[in-house]
Amino acid sequence: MSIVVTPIPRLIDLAAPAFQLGTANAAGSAATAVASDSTLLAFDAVAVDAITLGQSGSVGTAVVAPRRDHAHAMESLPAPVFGRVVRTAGDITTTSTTLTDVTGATVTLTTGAFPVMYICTAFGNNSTTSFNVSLNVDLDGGLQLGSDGQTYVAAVGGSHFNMSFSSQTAALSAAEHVLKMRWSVSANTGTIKGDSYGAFVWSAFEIR
Amino acid sequence: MMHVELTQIIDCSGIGSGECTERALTALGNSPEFNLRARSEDATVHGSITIVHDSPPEPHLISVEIYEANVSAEPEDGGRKSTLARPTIFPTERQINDRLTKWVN
Repeated sequence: MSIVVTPIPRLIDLAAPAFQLGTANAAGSAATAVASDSTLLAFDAVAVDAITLGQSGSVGTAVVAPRRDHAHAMESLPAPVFGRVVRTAGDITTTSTTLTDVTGATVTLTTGAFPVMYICTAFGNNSTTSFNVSLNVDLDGGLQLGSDGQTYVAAVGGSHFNMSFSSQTAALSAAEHVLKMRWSVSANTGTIKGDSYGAFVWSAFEIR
Repeated sequence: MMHVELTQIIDCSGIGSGECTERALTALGNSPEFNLRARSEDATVHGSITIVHDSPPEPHLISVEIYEANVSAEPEDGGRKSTLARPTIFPTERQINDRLTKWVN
């Protein structure tokens, strides 16, 4: 007895998948089917966006997805700027009763629109009991600590006292700024120590 | 204001910066008629001296300021009580240099 094989006519054509990734299911309208071993377009070779500081979020419009192990390029944070002057080579003395620059104590910073913290680390004295040494900070030509500044009175003439202080500016413009230490005495001779026993340090850094 | 600045190699480690300043004032002829240092808060001064006492091989930086005219109080002067005045006998820049050079040598 012979077997008769009769091919069953194929009713549906197989086509390349044309699925789209979307935000809702849709029935579609093609009169074709896909084979079970076909490949779906889910990814492409376009890198995900590079993230910048302050950029806005976006839903996006691409019809393909990024791969699970994708990586974004990321903008680096600008490093906060800083500067300092360290004096160990010798003292500085003055007899000036009006504000004069502390020689060499100038820090120039090119900042963003941020405040700056400044720190003076100093020991010093007035040569005579009950007389003052005043320190002030000049920012771009304007005094930061009032007209009198930080005033230190010599309890004992010639004996060193701590003249360290720190403070902060308001937010500055994004530009170059100059911070200078200035000082004066009420009378007699003022000294800022700057040797191996006590360094004078004038420093400033941007707060980001 | 006349501003004279000079550098000299000086080793004041043995006497200290205070005594070094005293000697510089003496060399400059500090006196009531040419007063570069107030002795009291309401003194009349004719200028000032500021010294950076670097140790050899670095030089001292000596800055002498002398008022060429009487100076009124400025807002930034704060509580200053001293009077800033032009000295009756105004030294030349060369005289200032000579006095300080002799002091060093």
